[in-house]
Amino acid sequence: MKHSKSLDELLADERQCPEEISPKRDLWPGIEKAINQEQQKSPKGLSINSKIAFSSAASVLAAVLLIKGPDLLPSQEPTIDSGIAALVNTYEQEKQQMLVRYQGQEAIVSNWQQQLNDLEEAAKSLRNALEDDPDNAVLIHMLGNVYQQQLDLINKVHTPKWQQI
Amino acid sequence: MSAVVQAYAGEDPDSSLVDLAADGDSQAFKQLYERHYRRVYALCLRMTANSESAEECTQEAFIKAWRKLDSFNKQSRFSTWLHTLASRTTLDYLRKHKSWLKLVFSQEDEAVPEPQSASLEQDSIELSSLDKLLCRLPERARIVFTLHGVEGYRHVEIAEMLGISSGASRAQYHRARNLLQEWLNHEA
Repeated sequence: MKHSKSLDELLADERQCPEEISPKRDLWPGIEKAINQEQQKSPKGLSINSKIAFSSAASVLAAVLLIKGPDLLPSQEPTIDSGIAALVNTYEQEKQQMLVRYQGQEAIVSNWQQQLNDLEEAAKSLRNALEDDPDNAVLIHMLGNVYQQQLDLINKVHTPKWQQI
Repeated sequence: MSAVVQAYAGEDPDSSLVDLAADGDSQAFKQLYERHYRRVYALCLRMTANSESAEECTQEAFIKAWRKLDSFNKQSRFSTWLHTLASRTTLDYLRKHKSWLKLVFSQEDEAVPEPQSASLEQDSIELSSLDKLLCRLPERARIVFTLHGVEGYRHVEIAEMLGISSGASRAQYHRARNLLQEWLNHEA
């Protein structure tokens, strides 16, 4: 090492901070084996429309709807895609049911409602973004995640500590 | 430039291979692997400071990439998307291996470890002097330094990934810088 160089100079030096490092073994066989198994389970090569339909977020939606049934699709938000509205409605109903269930039960952390509000704000931002870009699978997936985090939070703060071990 | 919000400038050189791989062409995906695995491995190695963990994370990142190619919307380059995926995969790996609690919830500063972990000393991988020092950094500082100082993520992006404040990310970055500079001065 050239000790006269500063940290920034070393970071800019390709020899000191190379973009690429080779692993000591061939990692491809393990990856190939895994993706072959994936292909046997669910072959790729679907059309573009099918890919959108079967995106991860849609899978989340389908799973929830299968469990809860189609009767959970009453009031769809007019401004966003009906599939997304169904996702939102389903999670909102689940959230409200959980909040009712835990009403009067002391939470194990005091600021959980603030955390819930923060997550709701994040969900709101994502819903707004989806109004402009309703086919964005990443946004849909993120929205599902944010709702799931809300449900997990409500559950977690109302579950006695001994049950979390 | 931010690795996450890197502007999409011109044709993505991986675009045609990505299309083929998304349609199930595993040979096209292998070509993508060949193009990118060394960079992904470098990222994983710097984040984990352990060659075997880095190998596992690299493999997992590519397997996840294969699974998620359908959801890659091409708003960024494939390499940018892949690196974000690899970063998150490595953080998940660290979380699964118990260091996550220490990473996120511990209020106490981590102790500076003894020079050079055994796992890297025993490896046949040749690391630069700087990378050897980087691997000596405490875990949180090392991860933040790798993501910001090497990979170019913004602190707000790192904060979101780690579930910490951007101020905490900055603090870890400066801690890492100070330690690295101190070690460099000492070696000089």
